[in-house]
Amino acid sequence: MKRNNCGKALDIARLARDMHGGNGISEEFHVMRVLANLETVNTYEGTHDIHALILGRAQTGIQAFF
Amino acid sequence: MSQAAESRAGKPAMLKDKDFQWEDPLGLEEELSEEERMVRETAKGFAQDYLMPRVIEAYREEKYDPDMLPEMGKLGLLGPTVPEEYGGAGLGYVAYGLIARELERVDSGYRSAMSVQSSLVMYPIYAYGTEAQRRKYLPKLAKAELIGCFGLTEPDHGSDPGSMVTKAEKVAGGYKLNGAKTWISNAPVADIAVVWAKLDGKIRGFVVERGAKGFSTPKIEGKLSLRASITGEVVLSDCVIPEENLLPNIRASPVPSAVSTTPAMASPGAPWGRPSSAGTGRANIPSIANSLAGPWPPTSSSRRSLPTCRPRSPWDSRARCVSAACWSRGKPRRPRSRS
Repeated sequence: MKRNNCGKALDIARLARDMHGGNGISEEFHVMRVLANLETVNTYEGTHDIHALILGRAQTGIQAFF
Repeated sequence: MSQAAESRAGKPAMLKDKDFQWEDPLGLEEELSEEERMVRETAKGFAQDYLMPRVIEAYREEKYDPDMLPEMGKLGLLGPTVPEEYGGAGLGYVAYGLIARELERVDSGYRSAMSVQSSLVMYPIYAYGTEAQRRKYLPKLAKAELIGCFGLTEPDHGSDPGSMVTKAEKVAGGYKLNGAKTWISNAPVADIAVVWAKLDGKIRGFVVERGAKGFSTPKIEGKLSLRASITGEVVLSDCVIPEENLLPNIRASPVPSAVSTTPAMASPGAPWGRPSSAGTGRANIPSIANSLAGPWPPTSSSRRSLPTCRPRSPWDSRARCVSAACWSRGKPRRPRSRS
């Protein structure tokens, strides 16, 4: 849940930045700030890669991290 | 023809454009209680009226706002899962998630500051602390007269508590802590730190108060993300704390489950939180309701009566599966209910 939400939020923010063109990097439009913040959130709330490893272990019984 | 009738007639029930509410595609609004909507409106008002006008400058100047948490405390938005007798709102995780979402809508940094205070400091003290610890810290944390931080992540081991090296040892009258924690939100401004350390090989929680000898919290400079929140290290160098600052009621699990640690930190609210903790405690008269006369009243249009029996969210079982898989480090078990 957390992994998916964080990953999707980041994808959406990147798309939104692109859609805004140049304005997307301006602080007035908030998009770049959200995007930069979500990079952190992806690590400390989503921990996208760690979640993937744990889900992988739960599904396969094989631990791919040490 | 109604959608249900269409479906019975063998035609697929198509959503008509006019029926689709993009702001609430899953109909969450209908599942909330009146109290939860009031909390959400209070949080939304605060986020939009107080935080939104400040965020651009706060982010640009990397400026932490020391008034934000006290303002939230006044509105009763801190510690929504902690019972009222300890200064919380006694509302549960749905309310917590709603508050987190409204802050997150403005800036993740503001939400970080709040989630550390509410769910990483207040909740462990409530769940694992003694009655004396609860009485001593929780009411002040709820008003943000005390700011808390939470020390788990270590420089060489990330947030994996299994390989934690911070150590506690028993000394006369208390415990001596040695180690370093990093990426600790709120640390430079915190009055207390909930710190995890290994005591005789077992992970235990300790409350370290500002002023303890050997306790320091240098700020981490130069973040290009979450600039509206303040982050630091927690350095413990022969830091001696009194006996009564150990959080005693941690279960046998090597990892305290409130910390939901390994994969992610313990903030159940971010970015949206547990979608349906059906049946988590509802307050009798939440303190948050008292704050409605404040500067950010909810709109009356959002207060509609609800059926008394709430349907469970279709997400619920899936959410439980995933969190069970994540939290149990391979051993399936249901997350304990946190009412």
